[in-house]
Amino acid sequence: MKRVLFYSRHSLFSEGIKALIDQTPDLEVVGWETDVPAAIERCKDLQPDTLLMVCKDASESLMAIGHIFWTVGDHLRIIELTLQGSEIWVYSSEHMTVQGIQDVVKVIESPE
Amino acid sequence: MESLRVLLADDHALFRQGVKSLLESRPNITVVGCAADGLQAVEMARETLPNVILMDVEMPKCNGLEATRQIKREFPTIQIVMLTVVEDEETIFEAIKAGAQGYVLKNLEAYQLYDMLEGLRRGDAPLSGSIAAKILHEFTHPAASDDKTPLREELSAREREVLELIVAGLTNKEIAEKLFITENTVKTYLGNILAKLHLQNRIQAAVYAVCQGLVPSPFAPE
Repeated sequence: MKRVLFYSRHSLFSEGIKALIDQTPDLEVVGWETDVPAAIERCKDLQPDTLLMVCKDASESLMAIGHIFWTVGDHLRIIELTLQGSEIWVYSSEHMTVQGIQDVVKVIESPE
Repeated sequence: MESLRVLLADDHALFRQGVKSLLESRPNITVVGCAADGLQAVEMARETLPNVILMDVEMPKCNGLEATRQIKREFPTIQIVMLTVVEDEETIFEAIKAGAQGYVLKNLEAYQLYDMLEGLRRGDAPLSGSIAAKILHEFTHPAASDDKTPLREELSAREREVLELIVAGLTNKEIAEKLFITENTVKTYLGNILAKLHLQNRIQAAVYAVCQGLVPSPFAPE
């Protein structure tokens, strides 16, 4: 069972997505938060597999994503959906210690 | 109560699917179809004859405004509500001119959508708060009009009275209570008003009435 935490304002779009996820057998919505600090706290407490963000626009989501990854750390995947388009954006956090520029280059050149 | 037959028209697949799922969970609503563009919306309206169409504005092939125009031309009784992220004045008034009964932004919550659909049964004209504000702004700051089109057929005193209450934002039920008549009689008056003014719905009637000075604007400065 994959555990999903919602980060979204309560809107028709996000409520519709939640209704669809609720009908999917292997997914469980473990919570719903409407602001970043609360979402971070719930990520720490509940350790969801995925944080599903439904954002109004990119500026809102980018700030939230940066903040969440910085605070919550590894083992979290963030999926972002917007009303503006039909794209789905997937972010995952990877941490490593940088010894030198070669590590940065390696990450830039890596296929994923 | 008879089930309200709803057609969804939106090019955002996930939005469409989500709204369909929410509406299908309601006892008195049946989703009769989902269209991904304006052309499909027109075709599905012909096939399914819904009571209500929730229509996006920006869609490929044929946008929601054009689809609304075509559908209202063929099926004047189908109620069309624009459900969109677009909130510029030009599009709002274009939609009303095309015959839309309402204009609602997608940031509404599910319960508001249910309330809106129930309101349509009673003859309400749903508008999001910010959209209503833009329309009111037009009322209070009307553009200078050089429209020399003669007033269409003369309204009776009672029809003017009903029109004034429509402009004030009252529902058919509220008008009925205020004038001590039945809701059906209000509907008859509204039908006469729309026929005489060659308009399609109460929003058009309200905008027309204020712009033409048929009734005083309730928002005019004292």
